[in-house]
Amino acid sequence: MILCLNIDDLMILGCNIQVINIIKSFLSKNFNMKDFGHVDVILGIKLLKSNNDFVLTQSHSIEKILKRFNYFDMSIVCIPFDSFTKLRNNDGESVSIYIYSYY
Amino acid sequence: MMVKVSQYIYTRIIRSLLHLANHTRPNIICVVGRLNRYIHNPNVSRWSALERVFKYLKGIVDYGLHYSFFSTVIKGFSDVNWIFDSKEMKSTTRYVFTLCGGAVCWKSVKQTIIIGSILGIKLVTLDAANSKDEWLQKNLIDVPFVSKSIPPISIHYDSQVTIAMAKSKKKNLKIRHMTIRHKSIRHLISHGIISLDFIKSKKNITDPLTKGLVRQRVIQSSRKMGLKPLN
Repeated sequence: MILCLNIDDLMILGCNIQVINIIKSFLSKNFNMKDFGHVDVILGIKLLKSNNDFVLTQSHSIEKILKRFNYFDMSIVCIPFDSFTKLRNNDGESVSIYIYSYY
Repeated sequence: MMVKVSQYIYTRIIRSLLHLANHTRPNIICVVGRLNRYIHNPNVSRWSALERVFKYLKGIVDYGLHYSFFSTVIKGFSDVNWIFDSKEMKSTTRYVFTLCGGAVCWKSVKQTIIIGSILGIKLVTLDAANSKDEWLQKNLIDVPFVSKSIPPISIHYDSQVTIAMAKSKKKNLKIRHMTIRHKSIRHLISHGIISLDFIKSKKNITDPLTKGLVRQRVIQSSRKMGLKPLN
């Protein structure tokens, strides 16, 4: 039996459903809790279960991030990091986003 | 004032990207980690690199880490890369652990000590990966569906010399912090917690954690880490 607790999110994992139910009723007697049933999204990670495998995905939060920073309507590339790009310490001034938007 | 605004947005973007990289997108951790070093002073090249990450993320929106129900064996992959810039002092360690065909634990981090020899940095990398190893194995014992006798975790490493050195009993290391690491690796091997195996550099899936790769390698290593389309 495994109990994952992160601030106010709680997840109970186990093989025996009766033991899980006993733990749930015991905890809800002592604490003010809400039961959300089977785990769907925890800590921003979505859990999907199919016949053959488990999948952890964050598609919804990627979409949210892309929309929040206005990058949603961009073309797609296949490589996250171009090895020819040299990232070195910037000795000059910082470039503000407003100036950058003119490039 | 303008500068402050841009820095603020850059920091916010990096923070949200780190959240993704640490949870379900191990293949962007290298670039996000490197961009993270410049949050005090972003310039044009950083912004274009950041834009590229966004473009890449858009392409893999519908991807997830897949874990199949069979093969509950932990496999470790570890490697190191030599300094890539004349201003750099420390090498970067990287490792990935996979369980049930999906990555469960990964890290790309600069080493804490400066060592001149390649053999030295490789040994330090191995030690860093091994400390995580023990922890993973202890956690796995608590999981009900795993059989109680867990086989040694096989760590795949692409340097024969380092493997031979880790296995040897000779104490010919003249640097103090190397000796202690060598001892801890030997301890894990002799207690059957890990086993070291050789793997060709091309098949090592940890490459995207420290450097930019060509398209084919990016796709290949992502697939081996369990990052696949949802349907």
